[in-house]
Amino acid sequence: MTKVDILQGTLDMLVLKTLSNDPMHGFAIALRIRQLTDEVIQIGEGSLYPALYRMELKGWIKAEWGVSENNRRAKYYKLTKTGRKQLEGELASYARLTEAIAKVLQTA
Amino acid sequence: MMTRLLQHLFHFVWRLWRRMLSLLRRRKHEREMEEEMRFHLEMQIEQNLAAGMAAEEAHYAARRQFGNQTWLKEASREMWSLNSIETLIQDLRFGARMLMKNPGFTSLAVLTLALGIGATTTIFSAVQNILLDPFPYKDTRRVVAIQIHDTSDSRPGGRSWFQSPEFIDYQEQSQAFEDVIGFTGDDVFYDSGAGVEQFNGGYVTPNAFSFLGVPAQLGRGVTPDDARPGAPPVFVMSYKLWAKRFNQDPSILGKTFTLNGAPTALVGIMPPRFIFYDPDLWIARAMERGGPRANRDYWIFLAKLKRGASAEQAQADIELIARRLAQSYPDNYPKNFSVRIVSWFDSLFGDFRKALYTIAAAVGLLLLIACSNVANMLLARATAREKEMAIRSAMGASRIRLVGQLLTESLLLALGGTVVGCLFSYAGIKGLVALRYDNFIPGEAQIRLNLAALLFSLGTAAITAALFGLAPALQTVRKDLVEPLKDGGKGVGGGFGRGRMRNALVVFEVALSLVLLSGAGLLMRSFVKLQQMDLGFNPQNILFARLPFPRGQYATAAEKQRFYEQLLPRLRALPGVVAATETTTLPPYGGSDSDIDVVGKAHTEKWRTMFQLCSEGYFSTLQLRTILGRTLSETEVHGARKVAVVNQTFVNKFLGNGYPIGQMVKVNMLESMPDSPVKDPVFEVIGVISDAKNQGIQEPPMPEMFLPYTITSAFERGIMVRTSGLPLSLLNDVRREIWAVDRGVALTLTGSLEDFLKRYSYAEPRFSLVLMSVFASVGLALVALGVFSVIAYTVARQTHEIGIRMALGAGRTAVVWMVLRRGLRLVGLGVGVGLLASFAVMRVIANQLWGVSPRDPLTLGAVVVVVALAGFAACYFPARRATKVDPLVALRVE
Repeated sequence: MTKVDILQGTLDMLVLKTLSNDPMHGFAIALRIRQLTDEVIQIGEGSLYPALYRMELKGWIKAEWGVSENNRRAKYYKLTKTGRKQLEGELASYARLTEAIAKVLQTA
Repeated sequence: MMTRLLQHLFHFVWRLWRRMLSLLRRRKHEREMEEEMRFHLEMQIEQNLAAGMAAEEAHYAARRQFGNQTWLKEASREMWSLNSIETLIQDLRFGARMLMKNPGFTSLAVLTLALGIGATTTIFSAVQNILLDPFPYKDTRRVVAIQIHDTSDSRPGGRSWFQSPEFIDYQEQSQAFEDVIGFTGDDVFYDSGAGVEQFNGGYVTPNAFSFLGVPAQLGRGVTPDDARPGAPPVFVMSYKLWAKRFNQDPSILGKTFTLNGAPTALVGIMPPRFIFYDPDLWIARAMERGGPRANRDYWIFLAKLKRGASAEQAQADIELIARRLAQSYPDNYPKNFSVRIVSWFDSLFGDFRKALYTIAAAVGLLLLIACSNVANMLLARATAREKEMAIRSAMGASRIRLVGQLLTESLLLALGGTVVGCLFSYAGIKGLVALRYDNFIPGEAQIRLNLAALLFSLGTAAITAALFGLAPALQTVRKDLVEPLKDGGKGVGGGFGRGRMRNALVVFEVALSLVLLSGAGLLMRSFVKLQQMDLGFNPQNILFARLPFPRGQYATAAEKQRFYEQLLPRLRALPGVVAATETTTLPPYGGSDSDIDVVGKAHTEKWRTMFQLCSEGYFSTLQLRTILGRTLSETEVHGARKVAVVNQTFVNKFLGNGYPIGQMVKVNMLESMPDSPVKDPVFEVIGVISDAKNQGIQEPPMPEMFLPYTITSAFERGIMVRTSGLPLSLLNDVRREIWAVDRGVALTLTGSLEDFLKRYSYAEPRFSLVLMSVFASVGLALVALGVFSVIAYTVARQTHEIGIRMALGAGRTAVVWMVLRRGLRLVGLGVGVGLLASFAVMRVIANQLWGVSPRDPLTLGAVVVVVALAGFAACYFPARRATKVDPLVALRVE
């Protein structure tokens, strides 16, 4: 099982995407990404929380204190309108990018 | 486009607002962050437990996975506060704390910076005020004067005044000038009702005040209407006279004064910086081609170049006119001459400009020394702080944060240096003004603190502080963090690269200070030589006074003779008076210049001599030595006989072969004078006296003749009295005797000859000398401090090593020598470099030296000894302290 380094922009995109359905707390976000990528992408807390705070400052996500599944106070992050727009933009450009890369890889 | 811009703006404000909010809610944030981390950890532990780990292992694994919490917090915090005021305030607070913790270092660094900044600001302000912007007048840069230079004269300069017809010719024929003004000085006698006072009158062409463009402080300046025929006579007063004589009483404006016997209204008072040739008052005078004054006034010619016209064009234009006018006024032009257009500015400053630039360069060196010193101190501190930086870095402080922190500290130092430096330069400028420079700097220049100068020195200091203050941060880039921690920061190695840098700085400083000291030393030796020099006359105990006669009286030579023949015996009869004489000038300046011919001797070059008109007491008053023949006798003076005494140089130049006594010399100028010409001015040489300075103290004497004062009524007259006691104590007695002969004669320019020499001959070299000496000693002190701090620091670092050496049996001498060797090597290297630099650089002050070679071995040798001694002392004290190291304590430090 190898860990993959990911770029900050990609991390933002993944976090935003993870939050697109329901609000989640930080631990759950990290867990979800790990599970969905079959543990290929493991986001360290050291990158996750700064990323969350940064996106909060930019207004892409909003934090609210809530109660976790095991009945403890936890901070839940929710996607905002701007965050959703940001996610759409990033997804679109990511799609274009992968498409372009795929073309090169196919022909070459 | 506009909407995009608005959007951006809105976005920016929004973000700023959020930042501000987060700043305010920092505490809450911190608390929430900790809670969030705790929650995360607990979740992880729960998960680990669920995965079947033992409780303790689950805890441990979770923590390990979470990693460096402090770093995470720091990173998050930075996100909230990066670029914000908070970091700045925090850094400032921390920086101040760090500086306070080390008061010795801080005060030394601040003081050093302050010295550099203060001295540089003072001198650069002076340069700005004196050389770059000394004049309050309009378009000063375009104002030029004409100089007719006699090419057979080795001295620079030349005639720049003209008689009215010649002046008008230049004005009318030249194409390059926008406007031309003239100035001529003359005595003005003011009858206050109580008595007659003499003022220095300044006569100006009617357009002068609009040309200069300075408004009056009260009333108005001179206008063209004032010179119209039939206009009521008016005058404008200088600030100096208004303050000195009339106590700045504004009510005198508009009053009528009796000047030269005519009621004249005071229409204006000029501001303090309006000096314009420094008369007491100005009166408009129309220049006329003919009339009684045509050939009596000598006008200074000042012209404003047309906009866009160059000095070269004007030069070519004037050159042509001058060649033509030399035909029309052959008496006014030497046989071979060149014409120069000089900026008015240059003609007034002359050599002093070079002196000031030298001083500015010296102070620049001082600033460099101060900066190197501070750099050195910061570097030493950097090594001492390696451990701190490593810890902070390991704890998760980012590089930007460390750099920011160090920058703040450095800037705090620079700020402190600036504040204290401002105080220094305030005091410095006061001191500069107190050096009485008013004899060689025109009064228009006012030395004041100059903002640009302050900013320059502040900038230099701040850049140095910032640059070298960052040194500790470098290691976080270059170096392994573990090393300084492991080392304990006390080892023998460590900071080697920086050590080399510090050594280089020390060498540089020592070299700079040697250059500074050489300059000061040379000026000092030159000054001492100047003061010890044999002037050829004895200036001690001589009282002098200029005695202008009332207007319209004493016009003939006979009348003047009658006055002096009554006065001189009265003066000689005063108790305390040894000798008294009439004179036309004050030594070390001789009389007027003239072309001469010696009867029976052919010469192709023009022969020029000075001639002094004096009474028989002149030689005993000045104590001149008779070499051959005799001096003037009372009968010869009384009878206005055509006999002459000449000086040694005169004999050497013109009477070389043959016996001088009995030779006949024709003084051409006496024949062609407009006032009181002398018919057939051929004089028989009756004696030769020793040379005395007659062109100022620095120049060698020129040929000079001494003629009976009774032969003509031309030229200003005055007296010199040799006293047995303090000359000024006799002033009242002398005045009483003068007024006993005639109450209408005013005494002006009274004083003692020694004071006169001090003011006019020694003041300028003294100005340079005092400043250079101050800078050189401050520089030396700084350098000693620099060497001391480096060596002391090295010793502190080597405590461990010294302890081991001593434990192994090294003696005190060996230890002292070990430390000294290192220091003395640096000092020696610095002295060598400095000596080479001095050799190269001292040529620039050659023109300010008198009687001393710029490579004077005695001075340079003494300077080397002084620097070496200071360096030795700076090394010796830390070396001695090294021997006091207790081996046990040194080893326990580990």
